[in-house]
Amino acid sequence: MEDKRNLQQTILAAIIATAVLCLVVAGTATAAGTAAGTNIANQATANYTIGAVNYLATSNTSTVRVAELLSSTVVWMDTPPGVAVSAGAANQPVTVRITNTGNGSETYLLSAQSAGIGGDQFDPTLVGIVLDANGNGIYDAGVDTPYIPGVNDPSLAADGSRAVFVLNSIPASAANGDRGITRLIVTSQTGTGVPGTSFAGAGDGGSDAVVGAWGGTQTVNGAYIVSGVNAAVNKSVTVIDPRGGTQAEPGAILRYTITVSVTGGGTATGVVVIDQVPPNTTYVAGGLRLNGISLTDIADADAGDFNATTPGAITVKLGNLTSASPVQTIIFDVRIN
Amino acid sequence: MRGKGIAVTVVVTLLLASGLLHAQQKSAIELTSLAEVEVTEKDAKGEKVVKRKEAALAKVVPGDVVIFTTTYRNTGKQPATNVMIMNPVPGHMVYVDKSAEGKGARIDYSIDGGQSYGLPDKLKVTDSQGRVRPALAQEYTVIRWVLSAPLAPGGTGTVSFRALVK
Repeated sequence: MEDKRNLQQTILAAIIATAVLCLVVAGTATAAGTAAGTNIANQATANYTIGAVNYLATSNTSTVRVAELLSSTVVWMDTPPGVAVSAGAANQPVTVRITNTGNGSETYLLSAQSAGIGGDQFDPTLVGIVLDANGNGIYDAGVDTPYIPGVNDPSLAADGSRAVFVLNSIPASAANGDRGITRLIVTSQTGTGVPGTSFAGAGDGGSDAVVGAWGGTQTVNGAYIVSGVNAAVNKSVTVIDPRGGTQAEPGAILRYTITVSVTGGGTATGVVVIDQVPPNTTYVAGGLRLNGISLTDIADADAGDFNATTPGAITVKLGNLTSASPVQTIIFDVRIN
Repeated sequence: MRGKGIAVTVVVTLLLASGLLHAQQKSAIELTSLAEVEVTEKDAKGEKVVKRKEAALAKVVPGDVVIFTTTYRNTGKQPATNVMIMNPVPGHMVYVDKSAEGKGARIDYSIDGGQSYGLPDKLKVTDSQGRVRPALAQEYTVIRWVLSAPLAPGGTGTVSFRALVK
């Protein structure tokens, strides 16, 4: 009898183990939670003895269908206080990211406003809303898709995220330092309401949809700052002595690193960096580099030279730079006499 | 749809197993499973009261807690001994620590799908670096209630636990 009981317990354990495994693989779980429409099934079993005989009993299956939680975040992505622009610039983007933090797919209705918001010095001129077609989070004119309400309302799967750009033109009358606010209004297509409001059958797989903490709609402000172009130059030096140390002594190499970065709106045209070799040092021939690429010392097709354009100095022509340009890094070496 | 199909298969398997072992005798203990959620409502005086509502009629979303209650009853004419009730923690859910209840029952847990059971302080998990630590409540896979006394004919009781929707 004892053997039979053990066998039965083993079988029961195996059955429960199978049930657990099967239930775990059903449906898809995401970071945002169990997918809407998933059926969660629960069943209890019992085993017991009457007289000397072992029995097994099973309960009904109680099922819970997971509803769709409408939950999203809408965040302005640019660095405050605002996107640097120049007065009169056209089609300047403010970037907003929408993330579906719910457990089902959701479609969003978008609208934008620039006029009459208040708290700023000028009203940007609204051009339109553009969807990030290539998913790089950066506005690409001619590549990203203009938003047309009711035609290409963006949809996001659970955990999905997408950038949206609000394009504005900046009035020519705006002065340096002025700030202009624009806003994007994002609304769940399923519905809005106080958290807990539900929409029968409106969720994924025919599940009910429930409004989460965001209320189904959110307005997010972004801003522009009118600023002239500004180039920041930084110069640093490291010392390498002949013994591998850092003593600034005769024969030691001084390595100069000059970085140039541009901020603000507009373009810095024809940027040229000129740096005199310090007294009592000698320029190390062939050591001039721009962004990791060697430049010849003579005046030729590359961007830089030594002692040709400017006597006793390195000259590097960086051309036109904007705030979108990568930081430019110039390196050259001199030897202490 | 896939989950539902599997649940049905499991029921069939269980019935088949019990049928094979005891084809002649009908099960004497009946089990009824109920899934509920707690909802906060305001009563006539405007005070908040917590009520239970059948989970199938509620909007259950990730993060919600479901209360599973199993009622057992001996419908036979003889006492049942060695009564044990097992309830796997359903898929997409995690067990809520210290939530299992059952009058007159010792409650133990499995972290290996019902192969073995132990009290919480005896359940250990070995991590990938070979370190042994106590199992977390969310790692329990099956809850077991072992009734301490035989269940007399007509005898009944309930056991319950709470689980959170992942």
